[in-house]
Amino acid sequence: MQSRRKIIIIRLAVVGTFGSRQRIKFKVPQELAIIDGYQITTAGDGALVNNVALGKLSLSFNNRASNPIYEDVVSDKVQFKTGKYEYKKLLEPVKKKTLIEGYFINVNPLPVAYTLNIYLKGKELIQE
Amino acid sequence: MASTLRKVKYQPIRLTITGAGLTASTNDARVDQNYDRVKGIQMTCTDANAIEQAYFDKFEMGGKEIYPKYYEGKLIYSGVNVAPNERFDKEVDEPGNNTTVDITLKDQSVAGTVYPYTVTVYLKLENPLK
Repeated sequence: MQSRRKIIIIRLAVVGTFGSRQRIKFKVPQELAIIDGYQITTAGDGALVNNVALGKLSLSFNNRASNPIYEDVVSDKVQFKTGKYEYKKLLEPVKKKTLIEGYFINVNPLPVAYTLNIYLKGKELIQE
Repeated sequence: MASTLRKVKYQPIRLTITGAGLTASTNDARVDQNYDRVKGIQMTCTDANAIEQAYFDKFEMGGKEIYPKYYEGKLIYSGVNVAPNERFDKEVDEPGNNTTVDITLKDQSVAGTVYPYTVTVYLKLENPLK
Protein backbone atom coordinates (compact mmCIF):
# COMPACT_ATOMS: atom_id res chain seq x y z
CA MET A 1 0.00 0.00 0.00
CA GLN A 2 1.40 3.38 -0.98
CA SER A 3 1.17 6.63 0.91
CA ARG A 4 0.98 10.22 -0.15
CA ARG A 5 1.07 13.56 1.59
CA LYS A 6 -2.19 14.85 2.99
CA ILE A 7 -2.67 18.28 4.52
CA ILE A 8 -5.69 19.09 6.63
CA ILE A 9 -6.66 22.53 7.84
CA ILE A 10 -8.53 23.35 11.01
CA ARG A 11 -9.84 26.90 10.80
CA LEU A 12 -10.96 28.70 13.91
CA ALA A 13 -12.64 32.08 13.79
CA VAL A 14 -11.28 33.74 16.91
CA VAL A 15 -13.81 35.96 18.62
CA GLY A 16 -14.31 37.05 22.13
CA THR A 17 -12.35 38.95 24.68
CA PHE A 18 -9.19 38.43 26.65
CA GLY A 19 -9.30 35.12 28.50
CA SER A 20 -12.06 33.57 26.38
CA ARG A 21 -11.70 29.91 25.48
CA GLN A 22 -12.82 28.32 22.24
CA ARG A 23 -13.16 24.60 21.76
CA ILE A 24 -11.73 22.70 18.79
CA LYS A 25 -13.11 19.39 17.60
CA PHE A 26 -12.14 17.77 14.32
CA LYS A 27 -12.67 14.29 12.94
CA VAL A 28 -9.63 12.61 11.41
CA PRO A 29 -10.06 11.71 7.70
CA GLN A 30 -10.31 7.96 7.33
CA GLU A 31 -7.22 7.48 5.20
CA LEU A 32 -4.85 9.53 7.37
CA ALA A 33 -2.29 7.31 9.07
CA ILE A 34 0.25 9.64 10.62
CA ILE A 35 0.76 13.35 11.25
CA ASP A 36 4.39 14.31 10.71
CA GLY A 37 4.22 18.09 10.78
CA TYR A 38 2.15 21.07 11.82
CA GLN A 39 2.12 24.81 11.62
CA ILE A 40 -0.10 27.60 12.83
CA THR A 41 -0.85 30.82 10.99
CA THR A 42 -3.20 33.70 11.48
CA ALA A 43 -5.25 35.54 8.89
CA GLY A 44 -7.24 38.70 9.22
CA ASP A 45 -6.65 42.32 10.02
CA GLY A 46 -6.81 41.58 13.72
CA ALA A 47 -3.58 39.61 13.58
CA LEU A 48 -1.54 42.01 11.46
CA VAL A 49 0.81 43.27 14.12
CA ASN A 50 4.37 42.18 14.76
CA ASN A 51 5.20 39.55 17.37
CA VAL A 52 2.15 39.97 19.53
CA ALA A 53 1.08 37.02 21.64
CA LEU A 54 -2.39 36.08 20.51
CA GLY A 55 -3.21 33.03 22.57
CA LYS A 56 -2.47 29.54 23.74
CA LEU A 57 -3.32 26.49 21.66
CA SER A 58 -3.68 22.92 22.85
CA LEU A 59 -4.44 19.93 20.61
CA SER A 60 -4.92 16.29 21.58
CA PHE A 61 -5.03 13.34 19.22
CA ASN A 62 -6.61 9.90 19.17
CA ASN A 63 -9.51 10.82 21.45
CA ARG A 64 -7.22 12.60 23.92
CA ALA A 65 -4.71 9.77 24.17
CA SER A 66 -1.86 12.23 23.53
CA ASN A 67 -1.39 16.00 23.73
CA PRO A 68 1.62 16.82 21.51
CA ILE A 69 0.69 20.40 20.65
CA TYR A 70 0.58 22.96 23.43
CA GLU A 71 2.09 26.28 22.55
CA ASP A 72 1.79 30.02 22.32
CA VAL A 73 0.45 31.51 19.12
CA VAL A 74 2.21 34.67 18.01
CA SER A 75 1.22 36.95 15.13
CA ASP A 76 3.34 35.99 12.16
CA LYS A 77 3.67 39.15 10.12
CA VAL A 78 7.45 39.49 10.53
CA GLN A 79 8.18 35.90 9.54
CA PHE A 80 6.11 36.20 6.44
CA LYS A 81 7.95 39.21 5.12
CA THR A 82 11.49 37.88 5.27
CA GLY A 83 11.45 34.12 5.76
CA LYS A 84 9.54 31.02 4.87
CA TYR A 85 6.83 29.08 6.62
CA GLU A 86 8.07 25.64 7.65
CA TYR A 87 6.20 22.77 9.20
CA LYS A 88 7.32 21.87 12.69
CA LYS A 89 8.15 18.19 13.11
CA LEU A 90 5.68 15.89 14.77
CA LEU A 91 5.40 12.11 14.59
CA GLU A 92 1.93 11.20 15.73
CA PRO A 93 0.19 8.09 14.40
CA VAL A 94 -3.56 8.68 14.19
CA LYS A 95 -6.26 6.05 14.33
CA LYS A 96 -9.33 5.96 12.12
CA LYS A 97 -12.55 7.54 13.37
CA THR A 98 -10.82 9.39 16.20
CA LEU A 99 -11.08 13.04 17.09
CA ILE A 100 -8.55 15.82 17.27
CA GLU A 101 -9.68 17.93 20.19
CA GLY A 102 -8.38 20.98 21.93
CA TYR A 103 -8.91 24.61 22.76
CA PHE A 104 -7.60 28.07 22.10
CA ILE A 105 -7.35 30.66 24.87
CA ASN A 106 -7.32 34.26 23.69
CA VAL A 107 -4.68 36.37 25.48
CA ASN A 108 -4.78 39.34 23.14
CA PRO A 109 -6.20 42.33 25.03
CA LEU A 110 -7.28 44.04 21.79
CA PRO A 111 -10.89 43.28 20.77
CA VAL A 112 -10.12 42.14 17.22
CA ALA A 113 -11.25 39.21 15.13
CA TYR A 114 -9.05 36.95 13.02
CA THR A 115 -8.86 33.38 11.77
CA LEU A 116 -6.49 30.86 13.27
CA ASN A 117 -5.38 28.23 10.75
CA ILE A 118 -3.91 25.00 12.06
CA TYR A 119 -2.23 22.95 9.37
CA LEU A 120 -1.59 19.28 10.00
CA LYS A 121 0.58 17.52 7.45
CA GLY A 122 0.65 13.76 7.29
CA LYS A 123 0.52 10.67 5.17
CA GLU A 124 -2.60 9.01 3.85
CA LEU A 125 -2.66 5.42 2.70
CA ILE A 126 -3.68 4.79 -0.90
CA GLN A 127 -5.22 1.56 -2.10
CA GLU A 128 -3.22 0.33 -5.12
CA MET B 1 22.20 11.15 -29.01
CA ALA B 2 22.55 13.52 -26.02
CA SER B 3 19.37 15.11 -24.64
CA THR B 4 18.76 18.65 -25.79
CA LEU B 5 16.70 19.48 -22.73
CA ARG B 6 17.99 20.84 -19.43
CA LYS B 7 17.81 18.48 -16.47
CA VAL B 8 15.62 20.88 -14.52
CA LYS B 9 13.00 23.29 -15.80
CA TYR B 10 11.01 25.93 -13.92
CA GLN B 11 7.57 26.28 -15.45
CA PRO B 12 5.64 29.44 -14.52
CA ILE B 13 1.85 29.53 -14.30
CA ARG B 14 0.40 33.03 -13.97
CA LEU B 15 -2.80 34.11 -12.30
CA THR B 16 -4.01 37.71 -12.32
CA ILE B 17 -6.35 39.07 -9.67
CA THR B 18 -8.17 42.06 -11.10
CA GLY B 19 -10.16 43.29 -8.13
CA ALA B 20 -10.79 43.01 -4.42
CA GLY B 21 -12.31 39.72 -3.33
CA LEU B 22 -12.14 38.17 -6.78
CA THR B 23 -10.71 34.81 -7.81
CA ALA B 24 -8.33 33.84 -10.59
CA SER B 25 -8.09 30.39 -12.14
CA THR B 26 -5.83 28.58 -14.54
CA ASN B 27 -7.23 28.02 -18.02
CA ASP B 28 -6.26 24.59 -19.34
CA ALA B 29 -2.75 24.73 -17.86
CA ARG B 30 -0.65 21.61 -18.28
CA VAL B 31 2.77 20.48 -17.19
CA ASP B 32 5.40 20.59 -19.93
CA GLN B 33 5.10 17.32 -21.85
CA ASN B 34 8.89 16.98 -22.06
CA TYR B 35 9.36 16.41 -18.33
CA ASP B 36 8.33 13.38 -16.33
CA ARG B 37 8.07 14.65 -12.75
CA VAL B 38 7.05 17.75 -10.83
CA LYS B 39 9.42 17.97 -7.87
CA GLY B 40 8.72 21.35 -6.33
CA ILE B 41 6.25 24.24 -6.12
CA GLN B 42 6.76 27.84 -5.10
CA MET B 43 4.93 31.09 -5.58
CA THR B 44 5.75 34.75 -6.12
CA CYS B 45 3.48 37.77 -6.17
CA THR B 46 3.75 41.32 -7.45
CA ASP B 47 1.95 42.62 -4.34
CA ALA B 48 3.29 41.31 -1.05
CA ASN B 49 0.35 42.83 0.83
CA ALA B 50 -2.21 40.79 -1.04
CA ILE B 51 -0.54 37.44 -0.54
CA GLU B 52 -0.70 37.78 3.26
CA GLN B 53 -4.24 36.45 3.25
CA ALA B 54 -5.02 35.06 -0.21
CA TYR B 55 -5.79 31.36 -0.27
CA PHE B 56 -6.29 28.58 -2.76
CA ASP B 57 -9.85 27.53 -3.48
CA LYS B 58 -8.35 24.67 -5.46
CA PHE B 59 -4.87 23.34 -6.23
CA GLU B 60 -4.93 20.07 -8.13
CA MET B 61 -2.69 18.26 -10.56
CA GLY B 62 -4.07 15.46 -12.67
CA GLY B 63 -7.28 15.60 -10.62
CA LYS B 64 -5.42 14.97 -7.33
CA GLU B 65 -5.41 17.48 -4.51
CA ILE B 66 -2.00 19.01 -3.89
CA TYR B 67 -3.15 21.65 -1.40
CA PRO B 68 -6.60 21.63 0.23
CA LYS B 69 -9.16 24.41 0.03
CA TYR B 70 -8.21 27.43 2.22
CA TYR B 71 -4.49 26.66 1.94
CA GLU B 72 -2.88 30.06 2.25
CA GLY B 73 -0.65 31.23 -0.55
CA LYS B 74 1.90 32.62 1.88
CA LEU B 75 2.86 29.07 2.86
CA ILE B 76 4.55 28.52 -0.52
CA TYR B 77 5.79 32.11 -0.77
CA SER B 78 9.23 33.02 0.57
CA GLY B 79 10.73 36.30 1.70
CA VAL B 80 14.01 37.84 0.58
CA ASN B 81 16.12 36.05 3.19
CA VAL B 82 15.44 32.59 1.73
CA ALA B 83 17.94 31.09 -0.73
CA PRO B 84 16.45 30.41 -4.18
CA ASN B 85 16.70 26.62 -4.01
CA GLU B 86 15.09 26.55 -0.56
CA ARG B 87 11.99 28.39 -1.68
CA PHE B 88 10.32 25.33 -3.15
CA ASP B 89 7.94 22.94 -1.43
CA LYS B 90 10.16 19.90 -1.98
CA GLU B 91 7.70 17.30 -0.69
CA VAL B 92 5.89 17.44 -4.01
CA ASP B 93 6.52 14.48 -6.34
CA GLU B 94 3.80 14.30 -8.96
CA PRO B 95 3.62 13.07 -12.55
CA GLY B 96 4.44 15.66 -15.21
CA ASN B 97 4.16 15.00 -18.94
CA ASN B 98 1.09 17.01 -19.89
CA THR B 99 -0.73 16.56 -16.55
CA THR B 100 -3.47 19.12 -15.99
CA VAL B 101 -2.88 21.86 -13.43
CA ASP B 102 -6.01 23.38 -11.85
CA ILE B 103 -5.42 26.32 -9.54
CA THR B 104 -7.95 28.82 -8.21
CA LEU B 105 -6.71 31.62 -5.98
CA LYS B 106 -9.02 33.85 -3.97
CA ASP B 107 -8.15 37.39 -2.94
CA GLN B 108 -9.06 38.56 0.57
CA SER B 109 -9.26 42.32 0.06
CA VAL B 110 -6.26 43.25 2.19
CA ALA B 111 -5.98 46.97 2.83
CA GLY B 112 -3.24 48.60 0.74
CA THR B 113 -3.37 46.08 -2.11
CA VAL B 114 -2.92 47.54 -5.57
CA TYR B 115 -5.04 45.87 -8.27
CA PRO B 116 -4.49 44.17 -10.57
CA TYR B 117 -1.67 42.01 -9.26
CA THR B 118 -0.14 38.83 -10.63
CA VAL B 119 0.64 35.63 -8.79
CA THR B 120 3.11 33.24 -10.44
CA VAL B 121 3.23 29.60 -9.37
CA TYR B 122 6.50 27.92 -10.38
CA LEU B 123 6.65 24.19 -10.96
CA LYS B 124 10.08 22.60 -10.72
CA LEU B 125 10.25 19.91 -13.39
CA GLU B 126 12.82 17.12 -13.56
CA ASN B 127 13.58 13.97 -15.56
CA PRO B 128 13.43 15.17 -19.13
CA LEU B 129 11.84 12.60 -21.40
CA LYS B 130 14.05 13.25 -24.41
